[in-house]
Parts: sequence; structure tokens; C-alpha cells
Amino acid sequence: MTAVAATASGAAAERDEVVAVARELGRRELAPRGLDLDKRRPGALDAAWGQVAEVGFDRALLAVDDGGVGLDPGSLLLCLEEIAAGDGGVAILVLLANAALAALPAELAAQVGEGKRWALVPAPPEEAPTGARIEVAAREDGTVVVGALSPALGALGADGIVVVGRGAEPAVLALPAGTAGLRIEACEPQLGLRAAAAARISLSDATAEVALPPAEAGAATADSLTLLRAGAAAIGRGIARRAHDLALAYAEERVQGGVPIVEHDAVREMLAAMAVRLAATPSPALGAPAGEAAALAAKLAAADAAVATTTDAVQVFGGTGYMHETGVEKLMRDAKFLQLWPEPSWVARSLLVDLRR
Amino acid sequence: MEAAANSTAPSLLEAFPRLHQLKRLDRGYVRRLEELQLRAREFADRHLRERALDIDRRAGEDPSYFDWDVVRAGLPHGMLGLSVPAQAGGTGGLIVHAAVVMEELCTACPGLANIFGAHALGIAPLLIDGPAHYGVLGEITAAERRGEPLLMAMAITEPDAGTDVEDIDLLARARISSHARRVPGGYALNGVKRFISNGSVARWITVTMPVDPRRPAATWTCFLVDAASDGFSVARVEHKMGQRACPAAELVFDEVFVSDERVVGRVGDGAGATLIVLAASRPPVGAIATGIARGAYERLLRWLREDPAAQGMLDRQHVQLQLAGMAEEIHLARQAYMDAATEFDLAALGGVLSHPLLRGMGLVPASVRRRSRLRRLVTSPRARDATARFLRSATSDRAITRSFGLSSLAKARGGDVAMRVTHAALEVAGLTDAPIRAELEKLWRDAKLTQIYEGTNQLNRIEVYRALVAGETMPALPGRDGDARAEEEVTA
Ligand SMILES: Cc1cc2nc3c(=O)[nH]c(=O)nc-3n(C[C@H](O)[C@H](O)[C@H](O)COP(=O)(O)OP(=O)(O)OC[C@H]3O[C@@H](n4cnc5c(N)ncnc54)[C@H](O)[C@@H]3O)c2cc1C
Repeated sequence: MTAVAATASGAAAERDEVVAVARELGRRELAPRGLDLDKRRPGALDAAWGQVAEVGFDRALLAVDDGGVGLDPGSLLLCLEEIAAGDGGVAILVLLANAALAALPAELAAQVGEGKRWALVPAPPEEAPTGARIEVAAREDGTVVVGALSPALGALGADGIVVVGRGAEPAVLALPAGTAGLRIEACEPQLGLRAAAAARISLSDATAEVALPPAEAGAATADSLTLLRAGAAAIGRGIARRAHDLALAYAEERVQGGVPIVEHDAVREMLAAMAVRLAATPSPALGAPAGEAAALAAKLAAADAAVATTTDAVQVFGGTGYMHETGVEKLMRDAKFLQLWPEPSWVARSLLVDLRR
Repeated sequence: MEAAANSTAPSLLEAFPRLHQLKRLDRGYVRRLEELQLRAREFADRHLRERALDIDRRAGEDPSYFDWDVVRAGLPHGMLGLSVPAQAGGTGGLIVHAAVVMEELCTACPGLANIFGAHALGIAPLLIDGPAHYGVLGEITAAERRGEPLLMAMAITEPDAGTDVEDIDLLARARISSHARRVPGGYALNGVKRFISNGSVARWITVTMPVDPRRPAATWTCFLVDAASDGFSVARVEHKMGQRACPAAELVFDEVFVSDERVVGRVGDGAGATLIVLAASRPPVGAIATGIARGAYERLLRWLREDPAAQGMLDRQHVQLQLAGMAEEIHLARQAYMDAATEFDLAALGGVLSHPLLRGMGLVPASVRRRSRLRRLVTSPRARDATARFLRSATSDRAITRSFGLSSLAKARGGDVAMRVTHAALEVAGLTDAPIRAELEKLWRDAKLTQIYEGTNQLNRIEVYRALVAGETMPALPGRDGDARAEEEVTA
């Protein structure tokens, strides 16, 4: 596999090469590990993350001078789609790691070592009923955080978290794992995207590094959320594409009624609907996120497309699709979980109207 | 969530307002149904609700995990003898009864409910064979009274034929790999059956196979197999997405001997019998789906009302509209399964139930049934022919086909409603950290199966077209030439 570093730049041909690297990563390294990652078999995630780090996707957005790859966000989104076609959960981890690095000022981000996995943790929106809230207070001995955040996707086992607060007092806070007062516990059960293990985070007077002064935190928070939603859109597309490809291949192979089931209109309808949804979902190739509202809309469209497409894919597989080994029901769970994150779709739709007003 | 009965759970008359009318005409029928609904609700609340998540988790880690305690807890509630005729010691419930029970159990746990559903499915073919199998049915109810669970299953699906074995016309062209070969005194069964609910835990399994694999539709036959037979084995238990409490197993038949007495119905009548069984079993699947949807709706509503984290959400129009939509869908799915179940009980089988011959046959006392000479008499080819003739005189292919159409409609619509409602409930709750999330996620996983088993929704809708739109009449009842054909097959 070519190192991403060698090709990272904005130019189209080079972008294609980076995307090809991501595709290979998804196909060869992640897809075959999908069930192990879903079952959280020991070593599965370490092996997958090792492959991710080897080609530099763990720090893709970091500038070359800071030890990163210097990829532009638009290219990263294209790559996320490919990685998600391998495994949605790992794609989420790549997204969260890069979003964490992007939210930090360069000098702090540069200190995060190669292969380390940090995760961005967005505080929940006011409307979402997660029951989790944080409070940030500036004291003489530093900034302390109190509260709880859950479920924080991808935070379990992370080397550190970057918390971005929403609402009236935005904040960008860095907390390495092991910080006194920071507890990160497993938050089970988790329906999908299980490689990105969710955590219940509790903060009791945890001292955090204030990454950005409050004046800059507002813009950084908005950028982080936009990146998360645009990334989630790309991941939704990747999951939907995989489901479509598996369903089409199975439909050509499975014989019922004396013909491959792709010959039955009932099956054709489902396959056609999958293709139409993919065509109607904005591609991350539109480039760098075209703004907060566009990212939200893209995420909503892609998550819906992923849920509908994966559900149909299970249906095309019949009873076989309901079983773990085929990996199709996993796609359905991944897609459904994606629809709820970083906020459930109905909350996102409401936010979208606010942004458009 | 607590096990306490839910204030949003409807009474029988709230669920089916049309029964007010019936109550005036037949008080006993409605009262019995009311009692049954309450009994099922009590069982669900006391024994299924609390255990559901834990059993789902365990079976998720180890698919062969099976909770016999819950099945045992169902015995005093009469869950295993529900559809067994009174003459064989059961309570003689029909499809309406089975469906009402299924809705209740599924609000608590569809996986556990499906253990009882698959058991009833296994019994169904025996019921259309007159008193021939009252011996085995009597064993089930006697065991129930002793506190020992004795489960049944039904095995139709094969690796190369899923949809193809659920439809008479498709069966003719299906790739069937199973074969019941004629041997002295009975048949030797060979082949593999796949995805069989209760397959790994059932004591008795009704199995369909062709006597001549080159003519599967014409020679499709149902057999009653003792799971303790030589040559029978469980090859694997599937790792499923949902409804995990009920194991789905791959069963291998390697020269499994089944005596002539344990042939169910006549040789060659299996395809039509399967159609009747599906007409009977699809309304309860519609009820399973309705129960799943109601379980999600009730849990969501309760959480919205009670959890401080959800405070204010009920004031949001979005949430109100979602809940209204759920209530609407659940109501319509419920009426659809009740229509289908009623059609089966009172229109398709109506004549059969009131037929004096049935009562006459059914009244053979248990002591007589146990005597082997007499048992042979009720299972003789002549007795089977009499049952077949009796079925033909009491109902018609058209009546069964119409019932089959309504049943398929209720099943397909129910499955879609279960998916839509669980999907919407999860979306409203979002990634809340409350226990409700795990419960809704489970119901959503459970719901998907209702679009697949008992024939995929696609197949069910094709059958709605044929039976209700095109007005086709399917050959469900045993053929007139059955006597001759059966003799020929038996002596071949
Ligand atoms: C958990 C579970 C429990 C089950 N329990 C039992 C049981 O207890 N006993 C039992 O016998 N079986 C059982 N089944 C089997 C079930 O009934 C079958 O899975 C179902 O009938 C579909 O068959 P299949 O899985 O082979 O799918 P296939 O028939 O391979 O179907 C694949 C796809 O092709 C479509 N298709 C196929 N043929 C046609 C056609 N002619 N026209 C249009 N579309 C078509 C289907 O709709 C589906 O989308 C169970 C299955 C599951 C998953």
C-alpha cells in the first residue's frame, strides 16, 4: 500500500490515489475483520487501527509539518466513504480522531503521537434527551469540568478525548485518558458501529486543558460538528454502497423459483431503490463541507439512505440475511445507529430549519 | 423497566371495538377471550418482561442458550396446550385465541413469545388430521399438567428452498434435497432443514418432505418426527440478529424412520396442508408484529412521561405526531390480524368446527385412544381418507384460499408496521442513556424477522394478489383421488 503522505495534496489525480488507498484498506483489511470488530474480539481493533495508522489515516488532517498527512477535509470525506464500505465503526474512529486533532490548536495536536487514538466528544444538543450535561468552571488552579457525557461514541479505549461543548458557552477541552476525575466506562449494549465503542464519561472536577479561548471556541465547535456530520454522511454512503453491492451479488447467485432471484420484480424493486437512493445522496466529492446546513442535510439524507438500503439488503438475503455470518444484519445495525448520532434525525431536521431561517 | 402491567395496554374491547356487538350475541366467546388476554398479559408481565434483555444478551453470546425456566413458567398459564383440542387435554384455542395471546407476549419479548408460537406452528398440521395424533398431543398436555415442558417445531425450509417451499406452484419447480423413502412399515427421512424455530429444543417436529423428489409438489408429505429418533441431529444453532430467545436450528435427517402411523394426513397431501397451516399461522405472525410495535410504543410513551431526561419532549409536536402515527399503525395492523384470524376460524374452518363428525371423532376417550389396535384404526389410511372427505364436505378450496389471502395481508402489513414503529420509537428516544434504549434496540432487531419468516413479505403480497385480487382458488384441501394415490404410494 502506498503511504498517504507521499500523495497528499489537493490535486485530482493525487486525490484519486489517496481514495484508492482508503478503498484497499476498507476491502482488504477492514471488511474481513467486520464480524470480529462487531463482536469486539480481542485484538481485532488493535489490528485494524494498526492498519489505519500505517497509511496515516489516524492523523490525515494534521499538517505534514506537524507529523500528519496534510489531507484536505474533502479528500478525507471521500476516504471515509471507502473506509466505511469496509467497516463503519472503524470509519467513525478515523473521523473522530481527525476531528479531535482538527479541533485542537496545532501545537497541542502535534503532541499526539503517531498511532494514538483520540476521540472528539460532542456535548449533546439541548434538545436531545440523553440526560447528559457538562459544566465548565474556570478556577485558579485551572479549568474544571463536572458532569456526564454519554454515550460518547469511540471514547472507550481512546488515548484522550477532546470535548466540544454546544449551547450558550462553547468550549473546546482536551483531556488525556488517565486525567484525575475523568472516568470512561463502557456503555453497553451498543446496537451498531461497535468498533467505535461508546463510553459513559463522568467528570468530577477533572482538570482540562482549555484548548481554545472561549472567543474562538464557538467557531471551532461549529466546525467540529460540521465535520462530524459531513463525515457521518460519507460513512452512511459507504455503508449503503456495501449493502447494495452485497445484495446485488447475492441476488445474482441465489436461485428461487427456478431463476436467480435478481430476475424477480420484487427483488429488482429493492435493488433499484438502493441504486436510486445512492444516486440521490450527495457525494462527499462535493469537496470540503459546503457549510453547516449542507452537512446536516447530507447527513440526514445519507443516514436515511443507509437505513433503508441495509434493511432492504437483509430482505434480499431472506433468512440468511438475518444471521450474523453474512454481515448484512450488521450493516443494518450500523446504519440505524448512525441515524441517531451525533443527534437523532428529528433533532437534526429541526436544527436544519433553524440554520436555514 | 418494571414488570408492572402498563396503563396504556388496551383491554380486549378497547383493542377490538367490534367485539361489543359480538358480546351481545355470544357473551361466552368474548369473555373467554378476555380471560385469555389477561392470562397472557399476566404471564408476560410476570415472567417475560424482566428477563427479556438478559436472555437476549446470553443467547447473543451463545446461540444454543435456552431458558427452560421461562417455558416452565408458561405451563400453569396453559401456554403449551392452548391450541390442543379439548379431547386431547388442551384448551382448544383457535387462531383468534392464538393471535390475542401472541400480541400480549410480544409486547414483553418477541423472542420468548416465538417459542410458544413455533410450538403452535408445529401442532397445526396435526390438527387437520383428525384424531390421528391425539396420542402425541395428549402427551404434551399431560406433560404440561405435570410441569414438564414438551415443545414442538415445524420444519419446512431447506437450504436451497425457502420461498419455494412456502408456495404450492413454486414447490413444483423447487430444488428439494430432502427425501422420504418408502421402507417397510413407514418412511426413511433424509435431508437438511434450515432455520427451524425450536428445532434444537423440540421433542416432536412436524417435517415436510417429498416421497418422490422428482415430483415434490405432488408427493409433499408431512411427518411427525420424534427428536429422539436415530439419525436425527442438530447441525447448528444460528446466531441471529433478534428474537434470540427462540433458537433457529439446522436439522439433519439421516435415515430417520417414521412409522406409517406418524404420517400426518395422507401421503401426497402435504402441499395443500402447508397452505392451510400458513393460513392459520400468518394471523398470529401479524399479531406478533403488532405486539412488537405496541411494546415499543408503550415503552416510549412511558419513558416520555416518567423520565426527567425526557422532560418537555411530549410537548413537542414532532413527538406527538410520531406517537399518533404509531397508534394509528398499531390499530390498523391489529384489525387486520383479527379479520384474518376470524376469517380462518369462522369462515374457512367454520363448517369443520361445527361438523358433527369432528365432535364424534374427537370424543374417542383417551383410554381407548391408548389401546394400540384402536390407535391403528384412527391412523389407518381409511381413517385418513375419512378425515379428508370430511374436510372437503365441511369447507372449500375457495374459502381456504380467501382466508390465506387475508392471513398473508395481515402478516405482511404487520411486519411493516413493526419495523416502522420500532424505527420511529428509536429515533424519538435517540441515544438516551436510559434503559429504554436497549429495549427499543432489541425490539427493532426482533421486528425485522417478521418481514422474513412465514414467507417473506414479498411472497405474502404475491399471495394476496393471487388469493384476493385475482380471485384464484388454490388446491388446499386433500384431493378426491387421494385414496387411490395414497394407496399407490404406500404400496409402491
Ligand atoms: C429466525 C428464523 C426462523 C425461522 N423459523 C422457521 C421454522 O420454524 N420453520 C420453517 O420451516 N422455516 C423457518 N424459517 C424460514 C423462513 O420461513 C424463510 O427464511 C423464508 O421463507 C424465506 O426463505 P429464504 O430465507 O430461503 O429466502 P429466499 O427464498 O432465498 O428469498 C430471498 C429473497 O428473494 C425473494 N424471492 C424469492 N423467491 C421469490 C419469488 N418467486 N418472487 C419474488 N421474490 C422472491 C424473497 O422475497 C427474498 O427477498 C425461519 C427463518 C428465520 C430467519
